[in-house]
Amino acid sequence: MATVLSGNSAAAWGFRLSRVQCYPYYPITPSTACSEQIARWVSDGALETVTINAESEHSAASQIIAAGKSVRAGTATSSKGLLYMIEVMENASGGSIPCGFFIGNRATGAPINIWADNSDAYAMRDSGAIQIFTADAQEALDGVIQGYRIAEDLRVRLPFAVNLRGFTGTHAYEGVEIPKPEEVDRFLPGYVSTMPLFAPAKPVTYGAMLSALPYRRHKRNQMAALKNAVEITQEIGREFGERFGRSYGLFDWIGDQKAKLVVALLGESAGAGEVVVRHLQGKQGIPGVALLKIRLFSPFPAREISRALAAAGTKAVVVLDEGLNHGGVFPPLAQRIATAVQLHLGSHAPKVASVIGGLGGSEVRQEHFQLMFNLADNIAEGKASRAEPYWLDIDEDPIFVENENQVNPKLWKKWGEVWKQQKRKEKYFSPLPQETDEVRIYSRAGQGAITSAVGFTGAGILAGRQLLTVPAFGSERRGAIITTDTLVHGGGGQKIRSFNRTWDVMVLYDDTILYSPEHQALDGLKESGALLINSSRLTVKKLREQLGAGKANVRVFTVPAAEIAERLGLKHINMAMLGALHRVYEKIPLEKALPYYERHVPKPRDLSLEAIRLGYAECTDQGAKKRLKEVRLPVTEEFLAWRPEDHSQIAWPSEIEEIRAG
Amino acid sequence: MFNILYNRDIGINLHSFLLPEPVKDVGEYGAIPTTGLTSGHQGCTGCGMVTGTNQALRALKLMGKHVVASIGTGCNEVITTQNTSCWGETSVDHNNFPNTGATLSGNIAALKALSRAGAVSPERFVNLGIAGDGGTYDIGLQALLAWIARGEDGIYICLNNQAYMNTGIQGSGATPYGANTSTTPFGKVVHGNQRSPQYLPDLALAAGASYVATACPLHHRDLMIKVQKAAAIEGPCVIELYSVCPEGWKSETDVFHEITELALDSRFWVLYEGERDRAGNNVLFTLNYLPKRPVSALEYLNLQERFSGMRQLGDMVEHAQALVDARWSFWKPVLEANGLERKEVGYEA
Amino acid sequence: MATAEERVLDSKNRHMEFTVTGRLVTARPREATDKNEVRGSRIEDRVAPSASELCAPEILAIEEVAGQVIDGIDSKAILNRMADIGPEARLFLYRPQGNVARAEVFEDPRICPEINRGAVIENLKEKPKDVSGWRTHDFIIDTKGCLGDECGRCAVMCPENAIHLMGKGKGSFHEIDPLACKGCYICWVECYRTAADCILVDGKTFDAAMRAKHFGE
Repeated sequence: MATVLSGNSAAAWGFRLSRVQCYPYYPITPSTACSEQIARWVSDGALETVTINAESEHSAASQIIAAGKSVRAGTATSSKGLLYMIEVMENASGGSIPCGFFIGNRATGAPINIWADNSDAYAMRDSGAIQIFTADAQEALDGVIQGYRIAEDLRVRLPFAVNLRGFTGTHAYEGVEIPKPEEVDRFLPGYVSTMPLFAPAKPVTYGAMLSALPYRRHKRNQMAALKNAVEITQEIGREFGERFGRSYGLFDWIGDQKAKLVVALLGESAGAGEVVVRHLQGKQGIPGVALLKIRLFSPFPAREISRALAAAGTKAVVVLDEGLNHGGVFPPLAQRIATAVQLHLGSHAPKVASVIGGLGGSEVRQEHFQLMFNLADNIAEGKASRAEPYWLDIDEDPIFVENENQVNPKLWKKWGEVWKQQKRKEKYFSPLPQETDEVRIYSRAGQGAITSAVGFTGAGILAGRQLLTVPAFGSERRGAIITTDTLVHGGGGQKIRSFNRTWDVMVLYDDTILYSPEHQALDGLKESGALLINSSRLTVKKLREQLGAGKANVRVFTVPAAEIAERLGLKHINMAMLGALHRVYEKIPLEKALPYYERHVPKPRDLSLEAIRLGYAECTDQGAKKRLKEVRLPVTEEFLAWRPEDHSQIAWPSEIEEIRAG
Repeated sequence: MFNILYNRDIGINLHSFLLPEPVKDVGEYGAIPTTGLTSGHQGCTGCGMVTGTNQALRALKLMGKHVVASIGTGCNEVITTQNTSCWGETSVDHNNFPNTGATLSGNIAALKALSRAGAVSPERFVNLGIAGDGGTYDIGLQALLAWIARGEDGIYICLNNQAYMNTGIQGSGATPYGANTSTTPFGKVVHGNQRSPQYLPDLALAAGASYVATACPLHHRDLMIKVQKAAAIEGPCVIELYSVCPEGWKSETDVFHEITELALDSRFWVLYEGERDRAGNNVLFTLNYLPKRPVSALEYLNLQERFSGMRQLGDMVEHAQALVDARWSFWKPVLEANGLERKEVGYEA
Repeated sequence: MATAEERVLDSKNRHMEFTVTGRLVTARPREATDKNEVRGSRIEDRVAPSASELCAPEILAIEEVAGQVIDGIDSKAILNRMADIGPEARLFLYRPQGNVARAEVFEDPRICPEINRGAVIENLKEKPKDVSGWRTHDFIIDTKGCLGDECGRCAVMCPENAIHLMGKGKGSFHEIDPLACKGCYICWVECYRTAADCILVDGKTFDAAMRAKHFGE
């Protein structure tokens, strides 16, 4: 039975099930919630871990490295926090200390950017730790447990880092199987330090100063142990599969076994790629395609990857890097793959092109994979490609040029001839089938929309569907309008992680959101979609006017959620909205969801459940007989009529002042 | 803040109001049946810092404790661990330069976790942090103050030799006024170190330390009593050791005794301790050493070539003296209560 | 007993009472324990370590496993596994309180076998370095003059841990380890100033220039 967890909580479960004995932490977005979860468990007595509320990542890393000499230790970090840890990180690898880091990958700036890319993990790659990339919450949980097995293997004994893309990974809520603690105990026995500090009979010195001869001999040993991690990661991933039913390897090959065209990448962005691979497979005129989702980044399984490419007869690999290698020839992943195939396959090596995308929270969307497979096809045919990285979504520097004038002239001068050879092939761009339903909630920060969406996700999973909820995250604070997106898939084992961003259901927690000039909330709503609004003053007629002629077929629902909450004495309207959502989205019927809500709604449970029922019952669509009382206060009229461009002309309505005075 | 209380009695103090029993007295004379560091380290001939470390380790071993030392990078670390280890029966965790406080914290957490698991009895161990003045006053201050603020049980010893001696005598936050270092050189325009040093015990008490003390290896009895007290008192305890550095101070190796005596009698270095009574929010200060004869600042400065420039400049010497006098005025209530006045041959009633 | 202006500081100390007057604190022996007032006792011997301690795991090569009887493991199976791996095979043996809790065969990952993993140094395995080359004068303690375990000032001040007490009680004396002494003069000054002046420099008790410098003689 799957539990709904965010990527961060799943990582925390990984630490919990690994029975981490020491967990120092210094929170940083987007991995904060992992440490918060551990701290919560410790506060509640659910976990015996010794936590340290550190004053910086540098100290948290120092503490985990000190404690890791005696007990199993772990922590979580991201971005600059990881960079701040790197100064001490080599003490973990050089000291052969198998401690664990969970990293919510994030850009490193400047400019400051809190969203996802792999810059932090790339910055860490020369600090001697094992680096595992995971693509969803389940992989993160399993990755932490396996991480300790790999790191503590006597042939390895090195620190490890489990990476998960920030927000779309760390903050996405999805169904996760939590293994049974006793089974994890059998898989992962307790940690025994080979050189304990607290053993008076055998005093030892860690971190001694070595001169050149012993230093280089020590480093030789360290590299040998790190290299061992390739084989051991594979062994342990297999054993994990035997015990828990989810096998892991060094990389996932998704698509045709004999793929001529391969797109290689790390982590969560593979979700969108999987959809494209499924769509392109077997299409007329398209050679075999596959996605190479690399799990073990350090030590890099160069031989194994090269062999897999050779066995498939791959002609071209396009490597997506969500980070840079400033001044390098190729960014880190492309560089590793290019050297690997060159060294292992020589003249039989497939051609390699590099693409940079997904920076600072840029989404890697399905059409990007279509582009990359098209690029792979071109270079497989022997068309010239760039000897430097391509970029996604830079208008002045596109992968294929449709209009020469759009291109930056400097670049045209340099790459014009190459561009002329690179042709866009329409067969790669046929429209993708819509396999999912997408729900977007617009709410104000603090209204509890995420709680309701997470509840909806859990209920949907119970009803046999595959759901994923991703809240948007930024610097917006209380009162700001935020979005929470949920993806509903029919199930059947396929994991879908990418949004089309056309909404089947749009939920507005507050009717005033309609008029926010910043958001244009109704824009992405499908014509065949449905709109649900918390309002007791807007009529359906009024809403239809708002939607305009283009969205005449949209079904419109209103629910007086605020009234319901007030009636019940609840602070939040989210439960009433959740009930109404089931009325609107009938594929997850309320009666199937209720057993889940009975166990999981926020306290007070009975009132929350009542709010769900009332929200469902009082939700009114356009055809419903029961009409809500229409509110006709002049203030409301004025407010609804307001447009930003009128701002200067509107006098402050005297009614408001009267109301205030009253 | 806290209320300041003074111990009326001046001198070495075996008792603490925080401890039910007095600590063991090694006496001024008598063999001490343990060793701390082993021989063969790479420290300067006549290094005062090693003597201090040695005495501290011995004091803890006399209590039957196994010492787990979290040591910061610095002279003390590199001279004792180059391709070998001079730490004998002490377990050593050298992590990095800026994180001695954090390393200490990690080891304290590990001890907690191990004793929770029933693997060790915590009373058997003492967690000791050792760092130099650079690793304490400058780069390690954040980790140190946070360690103190978290109230963890351990001892932190700062081996204060008043500059970055490991890397070639660069000025640190503990370098005295007027000293010539390679980053605060005595030039024609700027005359040596222009700032006055910070004071670790003050910083530590402000952060919430349970016990602070200053000591010097010349008064080994006092030093060892203080280390034992720190081990027995719950919470973070900070001890600063006056560490003669012949190389950095440009003094002869054989004047170890004289230099320390002059430092104490000129009051450049004051031996004292402060114990915190958390319930009453008091800190009880004890002055452990009363200067035997009046020594001017100049007399102290004379023995060390690092002050050779500034001691020619009357106003700089005056300023140095003023700094000393200002610090010393803290002890006025104790001196008055004991009817002490500074006379030609020291303090007399 | 505390008078009206005095208050007693809340204290754990069983022997002393701390009374506060204004900002001054006076420590007096508690009345009840007056008679058996505890002086800081002199230390005679090291405290014996407690019986149960965290033990470090052992890492054994095949010869070491073959050469001993290890209770609680299937030695034959383990030796077979080790033989399959070859000379790099090691047995990780963890025996807290003498009972085998973990026995794991693995292949030693090291290329350079004399360096421990993590470059960790086992302190007591190391022999101290010979630093006798550092010194330019030889220091010897005149055993006849030495006060032995009555004194110990030189040993406690020596920065090299080069001075050791020989014997016990009357007739005991200190000796300078010639491999460890760097010749810093600290003991010489200390002995003259606070003890017996029994340290010879280059065989001499009297070095006019040095003594003039230090002691004004």
